[in-house]
Amino acid sequence: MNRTKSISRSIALVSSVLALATLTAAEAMAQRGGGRVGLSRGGGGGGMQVRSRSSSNINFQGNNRSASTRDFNRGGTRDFNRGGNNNVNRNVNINRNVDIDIDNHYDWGDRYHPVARAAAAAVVTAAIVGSYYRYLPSNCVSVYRGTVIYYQCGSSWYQPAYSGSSVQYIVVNAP
Amino acid sequence: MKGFYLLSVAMAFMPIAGAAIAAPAYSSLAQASDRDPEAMQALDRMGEALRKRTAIEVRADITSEEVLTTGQKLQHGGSTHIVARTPNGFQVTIRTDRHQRDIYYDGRKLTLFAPSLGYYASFAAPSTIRETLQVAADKYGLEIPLADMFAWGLDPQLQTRITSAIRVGSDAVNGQNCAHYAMRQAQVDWQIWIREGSDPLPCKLVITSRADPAMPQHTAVYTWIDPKPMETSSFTFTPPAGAHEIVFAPDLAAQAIKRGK
Repeated sequence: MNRTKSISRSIALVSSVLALATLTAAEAMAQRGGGRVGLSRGGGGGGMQVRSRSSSNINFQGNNRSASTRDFNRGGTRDFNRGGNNNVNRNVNINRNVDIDIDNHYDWGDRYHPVARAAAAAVVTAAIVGSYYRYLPSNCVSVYRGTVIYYQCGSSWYQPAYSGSSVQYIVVNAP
Repeated sequence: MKGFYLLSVAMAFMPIAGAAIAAPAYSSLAQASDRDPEAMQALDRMGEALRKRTAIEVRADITSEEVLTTGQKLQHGGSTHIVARTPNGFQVTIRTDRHQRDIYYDGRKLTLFAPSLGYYASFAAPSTIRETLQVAADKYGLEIPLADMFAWGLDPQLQTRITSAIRVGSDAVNGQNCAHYAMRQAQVDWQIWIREGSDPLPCKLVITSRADPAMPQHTAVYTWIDPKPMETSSFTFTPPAGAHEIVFAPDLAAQAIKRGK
Protein backbone atom coordinates (compact mmCIF):
# COMPACT_ATOMS: atom_id res chain seq x y z
CA MET A 1 0.00 0.00 0.00
CA ASN A 2 2.79 2.40 0.96
CA ARG A 3 4.60 1.63 -2.20
CA THR A 4 1.45 2.16 -4.17
CA LYS A 5 0.93 5.51 -2.55
CA SER A 6 4.45 6.66 -3.18
CA ILE A 7 4.36 5.57 -6.81
CA SER A 8 1.09 7.31 -7.12
CA ARG A 9 2.50 10.48 -5.63
CA SER A 10 5.54 10.55 -7.85
CA ILE A 11 3.39 9.91 -10.88
CA ALA A 12 1.26 12.85 -9.88
CA LEU A 13 4.30 15.08 -9.58
CA VAL A 14 5.69 13.97 -12.91
CA SER A 15 2.28 14.59 -14.37
CA SER A 16 2.25 18.15 -13.17
CA VAL A 17 5.65 18.80 -14.69
CA LEU A 18 4.60 17.23 -17.95
CA ALA A 19 1.40 19.20 -17.95
CA LEU A 20 3.47 22.37 -17.84
CA ALA A 21 5.88 21.11 -20.44
CA THR A 22 3.14 20.30 -22.91
CA LEU A 23 0.89 23.27 -22.49
CA THR A 24 0.24 23.91 -26.11
CA ALA A 25 -0.57 20.31 -26.88
CA ALA A 26 -2.72 20.03 -23.81
CA GLU A 27 -4.65 23.12 -24.69
CA ALA A 28 -5.14 22.02 -28.25
CA MET A 29 -6.43 18.68 -27.08
CA ALA A 30 -8.67 20.26 -24.54
CA GLN A 31 -10.10 22.57 -27.15
CA ARG A 32 -10.81 19.73 -29.48
CA GLY A 33 -12.53 18.05 -26.62
CA GLY A 34 -10.58 14.88 -27.16
CA GLY A 35 -9.57 12.87 -24.16
CA ARG A 36 -6.04 12.10 -23.30
CA VAL A 37 -4.88 9.13 -21.37
CA GLY A 38 -1.56 7.80 -20.29
CA LEU A 39 -0.02 10.86 -18.78
CA SER A 40 -0.23 9.38 -15.32
CA ARG A 41 2.24 6.77 -16.45
CA GLY A 42 4.80 9.53 -16.33
CA GLY A 43 5.67 9.35 -19.99
CA GLY A 44 4.33 9.56 -23.45
CA GLY A 45 4.82 13.27 -23.88
CA GLY A 46 1.32 14.29 -22.99
CA GLY A 47 -0.44 11.00 -23.22
CA MET A 48 -2.61 9.46 -25.85
CA GLN A 49 -5.86 10.72 -27.12
CA VAL A 50 -9.06 8.86 -27.70
CA ARG A 51 -9.95 9.11 -31.38
CA SER A 52 -13.22 7.24 -31.40
CA ARG A 53 -15.54 5.12 -29.33
CA SER A 54 -18.40 2.75 -29.66
CA SER A 55 -21.95 4.03 -29.56
CA SER A 56 -24.84 2.47 -27.68
CA ASN A 57 -27.38 3.35 -30.37
CA ILE A 58 -27.29 2.19 -33.97
CA ASN A 59 -28.39 5.48 -35.46
CA PHE A 60 -26.86 7.88 -33.01
CA GLN A 61 -25.18 10.54 -35.11
CA GLY A 62 -23.03 11.76 -32.28
CA ASN A 63 -20.70 8.81 -32.39
CA ASN A 64 -17.07 9.87 -32.58
CA ARG A 65 -18.07 13.44 -32.11
CA SER A 66 -16.41 14.03 -28.82
CA ALA A 67 -18.80 16.75 -27.79
CA SER A 68 -21.64 14.30 -27.60
CA THR A 69 -20.25 11.05 -26.42
CA ARG A 70 -21.49 9.38 -23.33
CA ASP A 71 -18.53 7.49 -22.01
CA PHE A 72 -16.10 10.22 -21.54
CA ASN A 73 -15.71 12.51 -18.66
CA ARG A 74 -12.63 13.55 -16.87
CA GLY A 75 -13.84 16.65 -15.21
CA GLY A 76 -13.67 15.37 -11.67
CA THR A 77 -14.36 18.44 -9.60
CA ARG A 78 -15.24 17.09 -6.19
CA ASP A 79 -12.57 19.14 -4.54
CA PHE A 80 -13.93 22.34 -5.98
CA ASN A 81 -17.27 21.85 -4.41
CA ARG A 82 -16.81 21.75 -0.72
CA GLY A 83 -19.20 24.58 -0.17
CA GLY A 84 -18.61 28.28 0.36
CA ASN A 85 -15.95 30.30 -1.29
CA ASN A 86 -13.27 27.67 -1.23
CA ASN A 87 -9.91 28.26 -2.73
CA VAL A 88 -8.61 25.59 -4.98
CA ASN A 89 -4.92 25.16 -4.70
CA ARG A 90 -3.39 23.09 -7.38
CA ASN A 91 -0.35 21.96 -5.46
CA VAL A 92 -2.35 20.92 -2.47
CA ASN A 93 -4.57 18.80 -4.59
CA ILE A 94 -1.75 17.15 -6.41
CA ASN A 95 0.15 16.36 -3.26
CA ARG A 96 -2.90 14.98 -1.61
CA ASN A 97 -3.39 12.98 -4.72
CA VAL A 98 -7.00 12.30 -3.90
CA ASP A 99 -8.19 11.35 -7.31
CA ILE A 100 -5.34 9.66 -9.05
CA ASP A 101 -5.91 6.02 -8.51
CA ILE A 102 -2.95 3.78 -9.10
CA ASP A 103 -5.27 0.98 -10.10
CA ASN A 104 -6.50 3.13 -12.93
CA HIS A 105 -3.47 4.33 -14.79
CA TYR A 106 -5.58 5.42 -17.68
CA ASP A 107 -8.28 6.82 -15.54
CA TRP A 108 -10.32 9.42 -17.30
CA GLY A 109 -13.55 8.77 -15.54
CA ASP A 110 -15.27 10.93 -13.01
CA ARG A 111 -12.65 10.14 -10.44
CA TYR A 112 -10.00 11.85 -12.42
CA HIS A 113 -8.93 15.17 -11.05
CA PRO A 114 -8.73 17.93 -13.62
CA VAL A 115 -6.01 19.86 -11.89
CA ALA A 116 -3.28 17.28 -12.22
CA ARG A 117 -3.40 17.57 -15.96
CA ALA A 118 -4.71 21.07 -16.24
CA ALA A 119 -4.52 22.92 -19.49
CA ALA A 120 -2.68 25.69 -17.72
CA ALA A 121 -2.05 27.77 -20.80
CA ALA A 122 -5.25 29.61 -20.11
CA VAL A 123 -3.61 31.26 -17.14
CA VAL A 124 -0.81 32.73 -19.20
CA THR A 125 -2.96 34.06 -22.00
CA ALA A 126 -6.60 34.91 -21.49
CA ALA A 127 -8.78 32.08 -22.71
CA ILE A 128 -11.10 32.74 -25.61
CA VAL A 129 -14.75 33.12 -24.64
CA GLY A 130 -16.74 30.18 -25.91
CA SER A 131 -13.85 27.71 -26.01
CA TYR A 132 -14.25 24.39 -24.25
CA TYR A 133 -11.85 22.67 -21.92
CA ARG A 134 -11.82 19.25 -20.40
CA TYR A 135 -10.08 20.58 -17.35
CA LEU A 136 -9.84 23.75 -15.39
CA PRO A 137 -6.50 25.52 -15.32
CA SER A 138 -4.72 25.94 -12.04
CA ASN A 139 -5.49 28.43 -9.28
CA CYS A 140 -9.21 28.58 -9.76
CA VAL A 141 -11.71 29.88 -7.26
CA SER A 142 -15.33 28.83 -7.32
CA VAL A 143 -17.73 31.75 -7.32
CA TYR A 144 -21.51 31.72 -7.16
CA ARG A 145 -23.78 34.12 -8.96
CA GLY A 146 -27.14 33.18 -7.61
CA THR A 147 -27.19 29.41 -7.83
CA VAL A 148 -24.86 29.28 -10.81
CA ILE A 149 -21.34 28.10 -10.15
CA TYR A 150 -18.41 29.66 -11.97
CA TYR A 151 -14.69 29.19 -11.67
CA GLN A 152 -12.44 32.19 -11.84
CA CYS A 153 -8.98 31.22 -12.98
CA GLY A 154 -6.69 34.21 -13.29
CA SER A 155 -8.44 36.64 -15.58
CA SER A 156 -10.64 33.96 -17.17
CA TRP A 157 -14.01 32.68 -16.07
CA TYR A 158 -15.25 29.17 -16.68
CA GLN A 159 -18.70 27.68 -16.41
CA PRO A 160 -19.22 23.92 -16.25
CA ALA A 161 -21.73 22.57 -18.77
CA TYR A 162 -22.84 19.25 -20.17
CA SER A 163 -21.80 18.54 -23.70
CA GLY A 164 -23.65 15.34 -24.38
CA SER A 165 -23.12 13.56 -21.08
CA SER A 166 -19.59 14.94 -20.60
CA VAL A 167 -18.81 17.87 -18.38
CA GLN A 168 -16.79 20.57 -20.09
CA TYR A 169 -15.59 23.92 -18.84
CA ILE A 170 -16.61 26.73 -21.13
CA VAL A 171 -14.87 30.08 -21.07
CA VAL A 172 -17.42 32.80 -20.40
CA ASN A 173 -17.39 36.53 -19.87
CA ALA A 174 -17.09 37.63 -16.26
CA PRO A 175 -20.56 37.11 -14.79
CA MET B 1 -18.66 -22.51 -28.26
CA LYS B 2 -22.26 -23.49 -28.68
CA GLY B 3 -22.95 -20.15 -30.33
CA PHE B 4 -20.11 -20.69 -32.74
CA TYR B 5 -21.30 -24.17 -33.58
CA LEU B 6 -24.82 -22.96 -34.24
CA LEU B 7 -23.48 -20.14 -36.32
CA SER B 8 -21.38 -22.49 -38.41
CA VAL B 9 -24.33 -24.79 -38.98
CA ALA B 10 -26.57 -21.86 -39.79
CA MET B 11 -24.08 -20.45 -42.27
CA ALA B 12 -23.76 -23.79 -44.03
CA PHE B 13 -27.47 -23.83 -44.74
CA MET B 14 -27.86 -20.19 -45.55
CA PRO B 15 -27.28 -19.19 -49.14
CA ILE B 16 -27.96 -15.56 -48.31
CA ALA B 17 -25.19 -15.50 -45.73
CA GLY B 18 -22.86 -17.16 -48.21
CA ALA B 19 -23.62 -14.55 -50.83
CA ALA B 20 -22.93 -11.77 -48.35
CA ILE B 21 -19.46 -13.15 -47.69
CA ALA B 22 -18.63 -13.41 -51.37
CA ALA B 23 -19.85 -9.90 -52.10
CA PRO B 24 -17.57 -6.86 -51.82
CA ALA B 25 -16.93 -5.74 -48.26
CA TYR B 26 -19.50 -3.02 -48.30
CA SER B 27 -21.71 -1.34 -50.82
CA SER B 28 -23.65 1.79 -50.10
CA LEU B 29 -26.13 0.86 -52.80
CA ALA B 30 -28.81 -1.01 -50.95
CA GLN B 31 -30.57 -3.74 -52.87
CA ALA B 32 -33.83 -4.99 -51.50
CA SER B 33 -32.53 -8.50 -52.15
CA ASP B 34 -29.70 -7.94 -49.68
CA ARG B 35 -32.23 -7.53 -46.93
CA ASP B 36 -33.80 -10.73 -45.73
CA PRO B 37 -37.49 -9.81 -45.35
CA GLU B 38 -37.74 -12.04 -42.30
CA ALA B 39 -34.95 -10.12 -40.58
CA MET B 40 -36.57 -6.80 -41.44
CA GLN B 41 -39.94 -7.97 -40.14
CA ALA B 42 -38.30 -9.22 -36.95
CA LEU B 43 -37.09 -5.69 -36.22
CA ASP B 44 -40.57 -4.25 -36.70
CA ARG B 45 -42.09 -6.94 -34.50
CA MET B 46 -39.56 -6.14 -31.82
CA GLY B 47 -40.37 -2.42 -32.00
CA GLU B 48 -44.05 -3.28 -31.68
CA ALA B 49 -43.46 -5.57 -28.69
CA LEU B 50 -41.55 -2.78 -26.94
CA ARG B 51 -44.09 -0.08 -27.73
CA LYS B 52 -47.13 -2.05 -26.67
CA ARG B 53 -45.82 -2.21 -23.13
CA THR B 54 -47.07 0.48 -20.81
CA ALA B 55 -44.14 -0.02 -18.46
CA ILE B 56 -40.73 -1.57 -18.84
CA GLU B 57 -37.80 -2.39 -16.64
CA VAL B 58 -34.60 -3.71 -18.14
CA ARG B 59 -31.03 -4.12 -17.04
CA ALA B 60 -28.28 -4.20 -19.62
CA ASP B 61 -24.78 -5.49 -19.06
CA ILE B 62 -22.58 -3.30 -21.19
CA THR B 63 -19.17 -3.62 -22.77
CA SER B 64 -17.94 -0.61 -24.72
CA GLU B 65 -14.68 0.31 -26.39
CA GLU B 66 -12.56 3.36 -27.03
CA VAL B 67 -9.83 3.66 -29.62
CA LEU B 68 -6.67 5.60 -28.84
CA THR B 69 -4.88 7.59 -31.52
CA THR B 70 -2.42 4.71 -31.75
CA GLY B 71 -5.23 2.36 -32.77
CA GLN B 72 -5.05 0.56 -29.45
CA LYS B 73 -8.46 -0.31 -28.04
CA LEU B 74 -9.59 -0.04 -24.44
CA GLN B 75 -12.60 -1.90 -23.17
CA HIS B 76 -14.93 -0.76 -20.40
CA GLY B 77 -17.63 -2.68 -18.61
CA GLY B 78 -20.74 -1.44 -16.92
CA SER B 79 -24.45 -1.70 -16.62
CA THR B 80 -27.49 0.31 -17.49
CA HIS B 81 -30.79 0.12 -15.68
CA ILE B 82 -33.85 1.53 -17.40
CA VAL B 83 -37.30 2.02 -15.90
CA ALA B 84 -39.90 3.62 -18.13
CA ARG B 85 -43.61 4.19 -18.22
CA THR B 86 -45.56 5.37 -21.24
CA PRO B 87 -46.10 7.97 -22.34
CA ASN B 88 -44.04 10.31 -20.23
CA GLY B 89 -41.63 8.93 -17.66
CA PHE B 90 -38.29 7.21 -17.49
CA GLN B 91 -35.23 6.88 -15.35
CA VAL B 92 -31.94 5.61 -16.72
CA THR B 93 -29.07 4.69 -14.43
CA ILE B 94 -25.69 4.28 -16.10
CA ARG B 95 -22.82 2.77 -14.13
CA THR B 96 -19.61 2.03 -15.96
CA ASP B 97 -16.01 1.54 -14.94
CA ARG B 98 -15.42 5.15 -15.77
CA HIS B 99 -18.48 7.18 -15.06
CA GLN B 100 -21.90 7.34 -13.50
CA ARG B 101 -24.92 9.13 -14.89
CA ASP B 102 -28.58 9.26 -13.93
CA ILE B 103 -31.15 10.52 -16.39
CA TYR B 104 -34.65 11.49 -15.27
CA TYR B 105 -37.64 12.40 -17.40
CA ASP B 106 -41.00 13.17 -15.82
CA GLY B 107 -43.03 14.52 -18.74
CA ARG B 108 -41.89 18.10 -18.16
CA LYS B 109 -38.15 18.12 -18.03
CA LEU B 110 -35.15 15.90 -18.55
CA THR B 111 -32.36 16.00 -16.00
CA LEU B 112 -28.86 14.60 -16.35
CA PHE B 113 -27.08 14.03 -13.06
CA ALA B 114 -23.50 12.94 -12.43
CA PRO B 115 -23.57 11.62 -8.83
CA SER B 116 -19.81 11.52 -8.36
CA LEU B 117 -19.38 15.08 -9.62
CA GLY B 118 -22.51 16.49 -8.03
CA TYR B 119 -23.52 18.30 -11.24
CA TYR B 120 -26.97 18.22 -12.73
CA ALA B 121 -28.58 20.03 -15.65
CA SER B 122 -32.11 20.02 -17.02
CA PHE B 123 -33.90 21.04 -20.17
CA ALA B 124 -37.60 21.63 -20.72
CA ALA B 125 -38.74 18.46 -22.47
CA PRO B 126 -41.69 17.59 -24.73
CA SER B 127 -44.60 15.66 -23.24
CA THR B 128 -43.72 12.20 -24.60
CA ILE B 129 -40.76 9.86 -24.28
CA ARG B 130 -40.41 9.58 -28.03
CA GLU B 131 -40.19 13.33 -28.65
CA THR B 132 -37.90 13.76 -25.69
CA LEU B 133 -35.44 11.15 -26.95
CA GLN B 134 -35.36 13.02 -30.25
CA VAL B 135 -34.60 16.36 -28.61
CA ALA B 136 -32.00 14.75 -26.34
CA ALA B 137 -30.13 13.32 -29.33
CA ASP B 138 -30.61 16.11 -31.87
CA LYS B 139 -30.26 19.21 -29.76
CA TYR B 140 -28.19 18.07 -26.81
CA GLY B 141 -26.10 15.25 -28.27
CA LEU B 142 -27.25 13.13 -25.36
CA GLU B 143 -27.30 9.45 -26.09
CA ILE B 144 -29.84 7.43 -24.16
CA PRO B 145 -29.34 3.67 -24.17
CA LEU B 146 -31.95 1.52 -25.92
CA ALA B 147 -33.56 4.65 -27.39
CA ASP B 148 -33.58 3.56 -31.00
CA MET B 149 -34.99 0.09 -30.33
CA PHE B 150 -38.44 1.56 -29.76
CA ALA B 151 -38.63 3.20 -33.16
CA TRP B 152 -38.52 0.05 -35.30
CA GLY B 153 -41.72 -0.26 -37.29
CA LEU B 154 -42.53 3.38 -36.66
CA ASP B 155 -39.76 5.23 -38.45
CA PRO B 156 -39.42 3.91 -42.02
CA GLN B 157 -36.08 5.74 -42.35
CA LEU B 158 -34.46 3.19 -40.05
CA GLN B 159 -35.36 0.42 -42.48
CA THR B 160 -34.06 2.22 -45.54
CA ARG B 161 -30.70 2.82 -43.89
CA ILE B 162 -30.08 -0.93 -43.70
CA THR B 163 -28.15 -2.16 -46.71
CA SER B 164 -27.91 -5.80 -45.71
CA ALA B 165 -29.83 -7.94 -43.24
CA ILE B 166 -29.40 -11.65 -42.62
CA ARG B 167 -30.64 -14.16 -40.14
CA VAL B 168 -27.64 -15.95 -38.69
CA GLY B 169 -29.37 -18.56 -36.55
CA SER B 170 -30.57 -19.13 -33.01
CA ASP B 171 -28.57 -18.70 -29.83
CA ALA B 172 -29.28 -19.04 -26.15
CA VAL B 173 -28.83 -15.67 -24.42
CA ASN B 174 -29.41 -15.52 -20.67
CA GLY B 175 -31.31 -18.80 -20.90
CA GLN B 176 -33.65 -17.48 -23.61
CA ASN B 177 -33.80 -18.77 -27.16
CA CYS B 178 -33.07 -15.80 -29.34
CA ALA B 179 -32.89 -15.38 -33.11
CA HIS B 180 -29.63 -13.83 -34.24
CA TYR B 181 -29.66 -11.24 -37.03
CA ALA B 182 -26.79 -9.30 -38.58
CA MET B 183 -27.26 -5.95 -40.31
CA ARG B 184 -25.08 -3.51 -42.19
CA GLN B 185 -25.58 0.16 -42.85
CA ALA B 186 -23.38 3.19 -43.48
CA GLN B 187 -20.57 3.32 -40.89
CA VAL B 188 -22.11 0.62 -38.73
CA ASP B 189 -22.45 -3.15 -38.64
CA TRP B 190 -24.78 -4.41 -36.00
CA GLN B 191 -26.17 -7.65 -34.66
CA ILE B 192 -29.27 -8.22 -32.69
CA TRP B 193 -30.62 -11.22 -30.88
CA ILE B 194 -34.41 -11.18 -30.51
CA ARG B 195 -36.36 -13.45 -28.20
CA GLU B 196 -38.15 -16.21 -30.09
CA GLY B 197 -41.84 -16.79 -29.48
CA SER B 198 -44.71 -14.45 -28.69
CA ASP B 199 -42.75 -11.73 -26.89
CA PRO B 200 -39.96 -10.64 -29.23
CA LEU B 201 -37.87 -8.43 -26.95
CA PRO B 202 -34.22 -7.73 -27.66
CA CYS B 203 -31.89 -10.23 -25.90
CA LYS B 204 -28.60 -8.75 -26.99
CA LEU B 205 -27.24 -5.99 -29.20
CA VAL B 206 -23.78 -5.60 -30.71
CA ILE B 207 -22.90 -2.39 -32.56
CA THR B 208 -19.62 -2.29 -34.47
CA SER B 209 -18.49 1.07 -35.80
CA ARG B 210 -16.80 0.97 -39.19
CA ALA B 211 -16.03 4.68 -39.06
CA ASP B 212 -12.71 3.81 -37.42
CA PRO B 213 -10.52 1.00 -38.83
CA ALA B 214 -10.11 -0.31 -35.28
CA MET B 215 -13.88 -0.86 -35.24
CA PRO B 216 -14.88 -0.09 -31.66
CA GLN B 217 -17.74 -2.23 -30.49
CA HIS B 218 -20.59 -1.83 -28.03
CA THR B 219 -22.30 -4.88 -26.54
CA ALA B 220 -25.44 -4.88 -24.43
CA VAL B 221 -26.99 -8.03 -22.97
CA TYR B 222 -30.50 -7.37 -21.71
CA THR B 223 -32.30 -8.81 -18.72
CA TRP B 224 -35.99 -7.95 -18.82
CA ILE B 225 -37.67 -7.53 -15.47
CA ASP B 226 -41.40 -7.42 -14.67
CA PRO B 227 -41.87 -3.76 -13.84
CA LYS B 228 -43.21 -2.76 -10.46
CA PRO B 229 -46.00 -0.17 -10.26
CA MET B 230 -44.46 3.27 -10.72
CA GLU B 231 -45.40 6.65 -9.34
CA THR B 232 -44.91 9.70 -11.51
CA SER B 233 -42.85 11.18 -8.70
CA SER B 234 -40.24 8.45 -9.07
CA PHE B 235 -39.26 10.04 -12.39
CA THR B 236 -38.82 13.50 -10.94
CA PHE B 237 -35.30 14.42 -10.01
CA THR B 238 -34.72 15.81 -6.55
CA PRO B 239 -31.21 17.23 -6.24
CA PRO B 240 -29.31 15.82 -3.30
CA ALA B 241 -27.75 18.21 -0.80
CA GLY B 242 -24.56 19.71 -2.15
CA ALA B 243 -25.40 19.13 -5.81
CA HIS B 244 -24.84 22.00 -8.23
CA GLU B 245 -27.10 22.91 -11.09
CA ILE B 246 -25.20 23.51 -14.30
CA VAL B 247 -26.43 23.95 -17.88
CA PHE B 248 -26.36 22.07 -21.14
CA ALA B 249 -23.80 23.59 -23.47
CA PRO B 250 -26.30 24.36 -26.30
CA ASP B 251 -28.46 26.30 -23.84
CA LEU B 252 -25.45 28.21 -22.61
CA ALA B 253 -24.59 29.12 -26.20
CA ALA B 254 -28.18 30.20 -26.84
CA GLN B 255 -28.13 32.43 -23.74
CA ALA B 256 -24.89 34.03 -24.89
CA ILE B 257 -26.37 34.80 -28.31
CA LYS B 258 -29.48 36.24 -26.70
CA ARG B 259 -27.35 38.56 -24.61
CA GLY B 260 -25.55 39.61 -27.77
CA LYS B 261 -22.19 38.58 -26.49
